[in-house]
Amino acid sequence: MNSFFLTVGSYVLTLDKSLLIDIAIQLLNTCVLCAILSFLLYKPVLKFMNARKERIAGDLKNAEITMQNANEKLKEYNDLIAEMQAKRNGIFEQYTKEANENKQLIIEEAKREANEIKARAKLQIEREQEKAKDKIRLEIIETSNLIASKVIAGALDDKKQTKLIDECIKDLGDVKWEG
Amino acid sequence: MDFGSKYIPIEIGGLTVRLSETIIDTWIVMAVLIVLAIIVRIKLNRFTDVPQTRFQNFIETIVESMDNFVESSMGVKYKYFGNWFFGVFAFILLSNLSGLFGFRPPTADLGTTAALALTTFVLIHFMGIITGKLGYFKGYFEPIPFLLPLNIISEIATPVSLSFRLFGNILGGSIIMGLVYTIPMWLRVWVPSVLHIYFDVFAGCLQTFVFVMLSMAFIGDKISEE
Repeated sequence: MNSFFLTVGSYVLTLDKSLLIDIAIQLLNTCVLCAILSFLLYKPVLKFMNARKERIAGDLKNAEITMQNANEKLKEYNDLIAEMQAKRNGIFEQYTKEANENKQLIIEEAKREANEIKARAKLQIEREQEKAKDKIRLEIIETSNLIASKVIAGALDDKKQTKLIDECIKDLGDVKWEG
Repeated sequence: MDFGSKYIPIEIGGLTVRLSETIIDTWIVMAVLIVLAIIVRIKLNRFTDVPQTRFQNFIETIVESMDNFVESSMGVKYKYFGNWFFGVFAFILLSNLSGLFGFRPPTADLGTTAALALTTFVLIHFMGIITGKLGYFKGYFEPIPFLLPLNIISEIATPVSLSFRLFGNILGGSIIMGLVYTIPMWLRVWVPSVLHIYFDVFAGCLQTFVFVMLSMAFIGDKISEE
């Protein structure tokens, strides 16, 4: 027996065949335990944690993609808004310009029409003036003739009559029309 | 005083097998771990993405710690070694702590520690041959062929040192604790508890960590050498 501390029914350390048998039994025990723990505990828990890790990584990636898409959309909409604003400003400026041009045209047209009306009115006034002058002249002539005939009737010679008529016409020529 | 592992000799096929305290305690430790594993397997379906229970937190913490530990020691490619080392770690740790419950730690027996060291030895050289091919055998003749015997002794020393370190530390702790319990009754209230904290909890956890870390380092070295 190669036992160092051999006691009956008890041992601390033996270097014999029994140690080899013990090693073999413990080897088997260890292998069985490791296999069971790996199958029931380590692998499933690790698989669960890895699946969760992948799921979270996937969610993060999706969130990142969604964020990127949202940013792209935001940029797209901002560009669109800027484009619309530019377009709006363009349209506004164009219509303002057109409106100003129209305004100028209308004003010029109105001025031109006003001038025409004024000119026409002036012409008409002048004509009316001429007409009135002629009418008055005729009336004066008639009146003069009447006066003359009456004067003649009251002993007026031709010479005197002519002088009277001329004076009358002369006086009429100095009459000015107002209004 | 008897600090040995009590046993009953059993005849199996002409062989005398010792049904020792070590074997029985090993089976108890195995049973506890297997029951825990079964509970985890049952509860795993109720595990939530954000852990809601302390149990889930505890299980995730130990599994993740082991996974990270293996990855940092051996690299991502050899993460599958976590399956083996998780079992070894749990077994050694619970065996070392079993002294707290009045059991004789299975790791206080050379049969147990030698079996564990033998697995490390086999893994070291299996991985060396797998990854190094002919370079593995060439390594024994380096730096000069004359050093072949020293290289072989050095390789054999690895499992011997691994097994005797764990065995010696735990057996030493058990013997000291056995002696401490011979003190007068009135002193047994606080003296053993303090020593249990050191020999069973502190030394037990430390030796577990040392054994697993050294095993990973030896295998990792052999893999990276090639």
